[in-house]
Amino acid sequence: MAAILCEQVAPGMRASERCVSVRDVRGHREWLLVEQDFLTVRHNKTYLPIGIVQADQDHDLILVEFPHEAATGGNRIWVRVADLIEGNGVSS
Amino acid sequence: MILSDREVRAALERGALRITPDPRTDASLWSSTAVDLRLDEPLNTWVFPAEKAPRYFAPGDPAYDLPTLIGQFLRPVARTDEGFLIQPGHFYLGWTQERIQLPHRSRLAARVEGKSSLARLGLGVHVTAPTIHAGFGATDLDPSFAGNPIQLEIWNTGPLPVLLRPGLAICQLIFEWVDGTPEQGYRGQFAVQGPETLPPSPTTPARPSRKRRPH
Repeated sequence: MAAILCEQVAPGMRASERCVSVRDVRGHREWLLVEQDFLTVRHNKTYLPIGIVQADQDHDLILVEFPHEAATGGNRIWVRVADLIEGNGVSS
Repeated sequence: MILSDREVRAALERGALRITPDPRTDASLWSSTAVDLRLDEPLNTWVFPAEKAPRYFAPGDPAYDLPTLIGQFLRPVARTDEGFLIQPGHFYLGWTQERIQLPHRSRLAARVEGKSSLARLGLGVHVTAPTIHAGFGATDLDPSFAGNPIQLEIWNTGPLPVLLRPGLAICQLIFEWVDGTPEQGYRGQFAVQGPETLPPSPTTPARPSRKRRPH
């Protein structure tokens, strides 16, 4: 399993929840509401666990699937490999 | 195919599904094809003051700012000693006490549905979005992570005020087998082309095209 870099981490709808944003390769922002302890912090950066669907190896892009539908409606976005970490905490 | 209570218990035992707190300790939460989930705290509601309010909210717009929306227009519902009073014609956001994990490898999905006892009073618990997809609340980055709660969209279409107490069995979860392995399960075995139009990026120039494996 992998995780994607969160651009912003803001308060959610209750104390245990966080509202995080991630950006796709085009710069479009998706917002998700998740429990705070679902997020992973590595080197002072916050990451959201996601599933990897497919890879565009020519452009170092990964199609990822969110753990649930984003508040903006998206389920899958293309992201840069550099914005991902793998389960062991190492950058992809 | 909907899972029976026995199949759901078996999935819990083999770790194909995680519900915290574990419903196996409370027989009253089970029916033949569903597990009841209980209402947590707090309960929130949207408020929309006539002044200083935008004309509309557009979730798909680039400028959509969910944290600001939450900060300005979401308010907790006051809880009395008795519980939360759900007023006719009003809409609320709540959560289940139970936290759910559906690992992709388990090939399970679920639907959250209302309880007929509450539905007869006019109470709904979701607004046309009942599906809990495979992968919900799943992560292997933290093995101790219990899962995410299910957010409920509670609405009262009846004429009666309804009291909801935290801990009330407010909805039920119905599990289904996923036919086949989702694409996520393949972990990118297929080389594919990404978005047709990419923004310029100095950090990730396109490489010379490689020969692709046949699909």
